[in-house]
Amino acid sequence: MGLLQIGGSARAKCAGRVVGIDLGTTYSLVANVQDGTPSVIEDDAGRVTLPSVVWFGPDGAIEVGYQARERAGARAETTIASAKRFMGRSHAEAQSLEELTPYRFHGSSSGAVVYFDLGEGRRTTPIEVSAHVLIALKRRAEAALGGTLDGAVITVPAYFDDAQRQATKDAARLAGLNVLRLLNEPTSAALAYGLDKRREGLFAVFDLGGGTFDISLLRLEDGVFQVLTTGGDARLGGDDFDRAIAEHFLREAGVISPTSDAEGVGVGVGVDVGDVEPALASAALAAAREAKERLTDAEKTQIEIAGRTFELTRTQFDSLIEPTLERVRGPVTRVLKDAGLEGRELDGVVLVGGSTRVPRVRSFVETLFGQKPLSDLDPDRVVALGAAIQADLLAGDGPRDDVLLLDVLPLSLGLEIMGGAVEKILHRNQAIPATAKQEFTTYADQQTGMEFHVVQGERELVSDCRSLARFSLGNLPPMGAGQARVLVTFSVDADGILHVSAEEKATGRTASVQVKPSYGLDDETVERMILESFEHAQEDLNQKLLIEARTEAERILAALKKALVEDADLIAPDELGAFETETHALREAMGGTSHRRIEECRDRLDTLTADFAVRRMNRSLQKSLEGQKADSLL
Amino acid sequence: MAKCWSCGAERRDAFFCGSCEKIQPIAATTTHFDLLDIPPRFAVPSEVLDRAFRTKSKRVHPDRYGAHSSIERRLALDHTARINEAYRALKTPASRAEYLLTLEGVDIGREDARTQNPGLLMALLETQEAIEVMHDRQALLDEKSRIEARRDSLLAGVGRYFDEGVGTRQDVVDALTELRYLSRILETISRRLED
Repeated sequence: MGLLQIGGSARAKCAGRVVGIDLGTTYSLVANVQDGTPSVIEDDAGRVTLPSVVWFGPDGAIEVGYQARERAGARAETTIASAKRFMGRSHAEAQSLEELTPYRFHGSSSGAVVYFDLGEGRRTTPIEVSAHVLIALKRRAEAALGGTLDGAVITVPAYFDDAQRQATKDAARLAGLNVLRLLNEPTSAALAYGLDKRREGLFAVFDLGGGTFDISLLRLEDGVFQVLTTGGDARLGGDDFDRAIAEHFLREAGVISPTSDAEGVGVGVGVDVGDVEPALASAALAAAREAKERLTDAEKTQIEIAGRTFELTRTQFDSLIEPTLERVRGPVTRVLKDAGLEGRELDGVVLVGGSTRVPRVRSFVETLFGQKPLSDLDPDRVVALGAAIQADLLAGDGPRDDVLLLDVLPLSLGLEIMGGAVEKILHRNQAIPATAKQEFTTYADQQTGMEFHVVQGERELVSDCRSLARFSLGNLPPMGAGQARVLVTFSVDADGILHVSAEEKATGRTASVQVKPSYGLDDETVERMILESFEHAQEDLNQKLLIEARTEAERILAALKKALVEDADLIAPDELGAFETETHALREAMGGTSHRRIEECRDRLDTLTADFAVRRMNRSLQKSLEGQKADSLL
Repeated sequence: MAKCWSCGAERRDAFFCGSCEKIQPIAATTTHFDLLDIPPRFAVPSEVLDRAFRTKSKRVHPDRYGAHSSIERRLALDHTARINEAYRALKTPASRAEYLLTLEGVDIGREDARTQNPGLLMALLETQEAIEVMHDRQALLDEKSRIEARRDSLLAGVGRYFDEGVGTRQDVVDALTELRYLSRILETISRRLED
C-alpha cells in the first residue's frame, strides 16, 4: 500500500553535517547551524550568494555562479540562468512562456522533458543545470565544514506542483545530496523569523523572488508553526521586472518592432521578442537587472541597451513594473479570504526574496495589507537560514526540539471521472502528511480493468487542471457493472509529494500501483544520467517511448471500438469510412518502430473523432440530468 | 486496551505504550475525537480544537521520529495523517456534525443517505437559478445574509440534537442535506460578488 510505503521519504538519523539550501531562481545560498545559531556559508571570496547560472563551454567545460555569469556575453545561449522556471515543465510549457529569453528549447521525443539547446548537438535539462548549482553549494559547504555532508533541506516555492518538486529531488540526487526534506520557502522564512524574534501570532509571508511568488499565512503558537493557507504564482518574479525594462528599451532602440503593444510589458509582447539575438537579449536583461538594483537607492540611473544609453527614473521604472506587480493582488486576496482574515488583522507581514527590496514593491505590499511590512532580517538570506534550522531540527541534535513545522498542500489533487470532470480527493490547504481514500466502481459489465488519471488543480474540468499521471489497474475478475470495489488511496508525504495506489477489494483480490508523475524524470532515467555522466541513452529512451505510444494507441482504439458499439446511431454514414481509414493507419503505425508516427496517427484520429465524442458526451450529460436534475445541478 | 507491539505491555492510551513509551498502531475503533483527545460534542470552541491539534501533532509528527526504527517512523506518519484528517473533519461546524452523524451510522457523504424531499430540492434549485441571473450587488448581498441566517439557525438545531438530545435524527439528516446545498449556494454568491 502506498500509504505505508514511506521508502522514499524515510529518514535515518543523520547526525553531523547537515545544511539548508535555498535553491533560488537567480541566486542560491547554503547555510548551517552551529552552536544553535544559523548562518550562511560564504565562498572563498567572502560572498554569500551563488548566482544560479551554469555556463557550458566547448569540450564539456562547465562553470557555475559568478564565473558563469561573466561568460554569459560570449556564449549567451549556452549560459543557463533561471533554470528553476523550467523545472518539471514540458517542452510545450517552456515554449508557451513566449518571453524574452536567450535560450533555444528542444522537447524530448514525448515532449515531457524540456532541453536547453547548447549548440553542436549538445543539450541539457533544467534538472541537470540545477544539479550543477547544488554541486557547487555542496562543495562550498564541505570545504567550510571540513567533511562530507550527511544531509540537506532544500527549499522550494510553496506553490511548486508535484512535478516541480520531483524535479528538484531529482536534481539533488544527481548532485549526490541526501535530501532530508523539501521545505516550502515561506515556511522556511517564517521559521527563521519566528525563532529569531520569538514572536507569536498570525503572520503573512510575502515572498517575491527572481522567478516565483509565494504568499502564505501562518500561525506561530506553542512552538508550532502552522501554515493556514498558501497561494502564489510559480511564474512571477523579479525576472519579469528585468524583462519589462529590457523589452521597453529594446523597443526604444528599435530592436523590437514598435508595432507590438507598447505598454504590453512582461507578458504577451508578441513574436518579435523571441527573435532577439541571444547575446543581445542576455546583455539587455543583465543591464536591466543592474539598473533595477541601482534604483533601490537611487532616484534615477543610466541603462545601456543595444549600444545606446537611456535614462531610467524610479517613477518610470515603477510604472514599467506595475502590470507585473498587479499580478500579486489575486493570490493575496485569495489566501486572506480562505483564512477568513483582513490584512490589517495580521500581527505582521514578513518580506522575503530579493525583489522585495524594490521600494515600489514595499509600498504596494503596505497598501495591500494595510500595514507596514517587517524587514528586519535580510530577505535574501532568510530562506536559507530557515532551511538550516529545519535541517538541524530533523537531524535531531539541535537544542530546539520543542519546535515543529506543520505545512499544507498547495494545490488540490484528484482523479478524472466520467465526462472529463475532476473528483477531488485531497484538498488545497489541507495539512500534510495527508491520506484520503475513495471507492470507485466499474461502469460496464465484465469490465476487467480501470483507467486512472491523476490531476492537480482547483478547477472543475480535467482540461483546466495539470495532468500528473495516468495508470491502469488490470486483471480485475469479470463482474457486473458496479460490483467491483476499487479503493483508491492518495497520500502526500511531508515533502508534498504524492503517492497513489488502487486496490480491488470485492473478491479479496488486491492489486496496487505506484504512480510517477508524467513530467519529471523517472528513477531509471535519473540512475542512467548518473551512470553515464549525464549522457542520455537515446535508444533506450526511444524504446520506452515506443512502448508508451503503443499502449496509449491501444487504449484509444479500444475506447473508440466501444463507443462505436454503444452509440452507433450518433455516427454519420460518411464518418464511419473516415474512422476506418484512420484506425487502419494507426494500426499500421503501431506495427512500426517510430513512436512519433504513432503519435501523429493517434492525434489525427483524435481530431477526426472529436465531433462524435462531443455528441456522445451530450447524450450522457442529458441522461444524467434527466436522472437527478436537482442533485446534479446543485 | 490492546498490547504493545514492541514489549507486550498494556498500552497507555490510543497513542503510546504505558511501559516502553513506543508509538502504537491506531485501533480501528479510534474516532477523530479520540485522536485529538477532545469530548465527542458538537460544540467545540475553535481554540480548543486548534490547541489539541498542535499538542497531538507535536507528539507524533514524523519529524520527531527521524532517529527511530522504520516501524515507528511508519506509525508516526500514519498517526499524523490521521490527525490531519481528524482536524480537517472537525474544523467546521457542518463537517463536524456530519462526522458525529457517521458515528451514529449515517454517512451523509453518500447520496442515498441524504434527504430526498422534492419540495426542498426544488426550492434550493430555484434559489440557485435566481442567483445565477442576479446582477445587482446589493441583491446578492441581501441573499447572502438571508442564507447565512438560515445556515446558522440550522446549525443551532443540529447542535441541540447532538449536545442536548433535542429533536430526531431525521431532522438532522434534513438539516445537513440542506446545509450541503446552502454551502454550494454561498460559494456561488461569493464567486458572483468577485466578478
